[in-house]
Amino acid sequence: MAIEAILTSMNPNESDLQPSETALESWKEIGAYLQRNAVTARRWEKEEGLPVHRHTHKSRSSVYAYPSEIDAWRAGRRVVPEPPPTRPLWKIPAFAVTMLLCLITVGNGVRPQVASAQGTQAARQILSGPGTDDTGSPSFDGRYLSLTDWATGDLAIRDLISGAQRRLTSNSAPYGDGYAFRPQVSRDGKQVVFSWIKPSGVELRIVEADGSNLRTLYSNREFSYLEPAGFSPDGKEILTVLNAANESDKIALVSAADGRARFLKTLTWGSLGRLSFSPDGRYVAYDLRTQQGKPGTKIMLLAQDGSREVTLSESVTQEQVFGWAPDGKTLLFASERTGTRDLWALSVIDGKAEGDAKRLRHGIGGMRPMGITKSGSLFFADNNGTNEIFIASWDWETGRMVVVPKPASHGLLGVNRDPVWSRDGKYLAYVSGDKSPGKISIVNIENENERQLSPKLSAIQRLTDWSPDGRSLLLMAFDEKNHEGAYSMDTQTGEVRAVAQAEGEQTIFQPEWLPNGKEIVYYRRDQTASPSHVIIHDVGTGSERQLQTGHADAGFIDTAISPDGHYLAFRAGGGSYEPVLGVVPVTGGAPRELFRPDVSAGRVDLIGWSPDSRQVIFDTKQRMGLRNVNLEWWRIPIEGGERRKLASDPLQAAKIRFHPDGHRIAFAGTQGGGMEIWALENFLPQSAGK
Amino acid sequence: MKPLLLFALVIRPPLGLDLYMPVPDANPLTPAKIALGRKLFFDKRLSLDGTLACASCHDPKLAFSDGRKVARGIGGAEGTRSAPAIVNRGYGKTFFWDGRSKSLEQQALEPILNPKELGMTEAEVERRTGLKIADVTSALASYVRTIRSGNSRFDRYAAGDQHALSDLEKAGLAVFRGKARCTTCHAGPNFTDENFHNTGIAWQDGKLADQGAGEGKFKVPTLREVARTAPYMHDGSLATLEDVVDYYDRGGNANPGLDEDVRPLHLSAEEKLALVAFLRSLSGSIRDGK
Repeated sequence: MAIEAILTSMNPNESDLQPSETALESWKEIGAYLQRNAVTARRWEKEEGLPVHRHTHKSRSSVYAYPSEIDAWRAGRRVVPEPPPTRPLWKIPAFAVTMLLCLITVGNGVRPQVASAQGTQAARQILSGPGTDDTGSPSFDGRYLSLTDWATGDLAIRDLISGAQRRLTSNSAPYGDGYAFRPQVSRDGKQVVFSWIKPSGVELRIVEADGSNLRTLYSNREFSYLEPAGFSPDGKEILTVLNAANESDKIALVSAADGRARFLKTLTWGSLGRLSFSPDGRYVAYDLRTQQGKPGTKIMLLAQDGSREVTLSESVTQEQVFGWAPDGKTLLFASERTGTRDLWALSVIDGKAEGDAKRLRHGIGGMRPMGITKSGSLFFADNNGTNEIFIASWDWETGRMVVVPKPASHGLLGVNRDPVWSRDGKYLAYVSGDKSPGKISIVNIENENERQLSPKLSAIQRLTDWSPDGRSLLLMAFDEKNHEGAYSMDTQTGEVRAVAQAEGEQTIFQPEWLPNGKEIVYYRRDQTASPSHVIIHDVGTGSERQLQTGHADAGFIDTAISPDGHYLAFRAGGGSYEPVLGVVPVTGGAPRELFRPDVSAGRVDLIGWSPDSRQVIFDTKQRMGLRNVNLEWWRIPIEGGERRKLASDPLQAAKIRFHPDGHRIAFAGTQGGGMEIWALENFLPQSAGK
Repeated sequence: MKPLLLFALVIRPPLGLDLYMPVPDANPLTPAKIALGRKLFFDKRLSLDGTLACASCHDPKLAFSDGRKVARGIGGAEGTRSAPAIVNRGYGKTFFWDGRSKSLEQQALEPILNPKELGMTEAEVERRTGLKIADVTSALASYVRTIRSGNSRFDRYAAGDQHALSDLEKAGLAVFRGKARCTTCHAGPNFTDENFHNTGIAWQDGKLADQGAGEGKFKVPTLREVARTAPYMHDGSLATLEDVVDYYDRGGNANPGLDEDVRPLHLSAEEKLALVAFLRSLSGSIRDGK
């Protein structure tokens, strides 16, 4: 994690270590010594420099470590004390859900902790736990933090000294009028500007810090979304990003007095990253993705009067503007140019880059910048959980897990998703890695051996199925020429071949094999036309037929083939269409509507099938701003009958995969805590901190 | 070193255009250069026989186009491509239908020296104007950067005036962005992605009559002032906006390099009518020289 990675520099000098004691001879032993699992140990080695050695004469996986080195390393990193795990692992997903629910009900105390052991660079924890929100920004003096109160959707501001939090807007009911997002505090601390998101659209609103004079500054139906990126230093204008749906991003300056907008520049839709006003108010720095779907980035400097623009930095990797140091001459940004995500500083004088960028911090992980204060503290958010694959057992009658879930993702670190079982239940495959295209890991469930494959694709959107013969996996992906479609990947060689490719504006979703191993089923949507269709595609001949569901115009949200391959379950609806859950025989025939929720049921999503192919599993949940709450699982028989609640507050997992044995499940879940907000201090070069 | 920004002249764009327009460091905008460029743009001494100026093919009355199928040079010589409307070219990335010029400075010189257009030599240009050729092209490029079209009814609608477009035009806008997928290429403030596509227009008698930028691809033109810039396409082969809409509705001329985004649209007669009405709303006011 980012915070821990930041503290890597505080490791003791390795030359002081005396590794003469008995070595820990495996990841398992190292993990045990750390009171963590092997996965965490490997991650700490990768991200934080946990001292691990390798036997060069043996295989690459042969590792060892010395307890004294680990102790020293741990002493160095224990700037912010890390509590030992207080919950058994099986409670972690449930804990995550509980914490999520707490977000809407409980406030949070400030827990600042002195971070620096050496009096130099330091990270201070600002907030953590329930209610922590990373969508706002600190005030320039660092005393306040703007945020969204996710219990109500209101804009709030928090005094970081007293811990007091007060709302600056007052929804008539939670989320009744909409919710605040991306609040930014003016430099003098007197005003807060924010997006106000409501069903009919989004507005830019502004309010005095005492809650008075709330007003809408700018709204325009031409823009499907907008958000403030910060005030100009004089507080007169608000740097704003606007998105015209599927067409372009715009950088604008909106008058804080009358809402008049000056449109500085239009960019390709989806290409604009993070923006920051220079302290002298003359420039806007921003990062720009140079190619859709690829990591290349430029960091640009645009004059606030539109008179000029220069490229400050260009990289084939991902870069992100963090903001300006207090000296107004140093631009901070994250870059992966050396292989890890690091914090860099670039000197910018009179609108031009001066000299080469200098790396300030190594290995900042997923650090998300929130703002820089006048004293040079970089406020940032970090989610200290990692996404792992879990396996558990499920009791259908009680709706509970009966066996402790254990992480299945031994081989990779941090970002794992989309588990699928092989048809014989002996293997589990999943996507791993946070960089495109990602890798495919395959775990032998019996002996836990795991291997990785690197398919030649530019991006993996989702791993959806295992072929009936067990020889290949089915993926939604982009090939190396960026053609979108369904691809089959050989489980032995990793070789990829196109099974069905999308044309033009079409997108192929949720491809799955039929048991005959000759046909796949997916739904296809044209991004510019409303109907979407379920297609049965013969892989050998390329011929296809449409499956009539009766809900093509509604558009599909998800589909799932029953384990016996006889039925397709679908969840249709969206936008102005009412949601509906239904099934249709794969061979054709009349579709059957299973469930049409009323408004009180909230959002409905398809989870899958019971292993006997007789019931469809779905969930209902309320959408509170960006959060899902009141999650419940249901099952409903396809032959007719009432739905029956399966579980309340179950796993907040995107997709559950049932093992062919009907009891085991696999899912992607979060391991570890939740959102934390930190301030990185004393990290700037001396001249830049002034 | 003084801040470079102090030297930059910012020209307020009309409604609908970005404030930022790229200007090369080597040729910053100045009032004097713009004025000189405007004078040269209309100066027939820049053609060998003294009969034509830049403005002959880029007539301000026709939104800086010429109303002909293909451009006509000195002695009545006909080119092979239509003279494009040169509004908002300051926002362009490449120039000419095939994008062979990377800057307006480079672009400005080519028609002057082309034997089928103005037919001059650099030496003759310098002799007649008393200017260095680089100063001529810098001035012309500076002036062209000031030719800007905006403040159309669409722009006023996009700025929040819900009454600026008629119901028919609004319906046309929905078709433009939706079923007809025009924004696939005609996007942004200038209604062009500045990219190159094979729309099938160059495919004639079973072969490409013009390779364009290669494989029959031509640059996507702006749609601003499009109602005033007939005939259409790189060869002027489509006389009216209705013809253009019909052409795309049927999916263009099938050919091996046809862009995958060009395919039958199945527009109804009402949708076509609305689409053309919307395109006409893109006519606004053109500023030049200021």
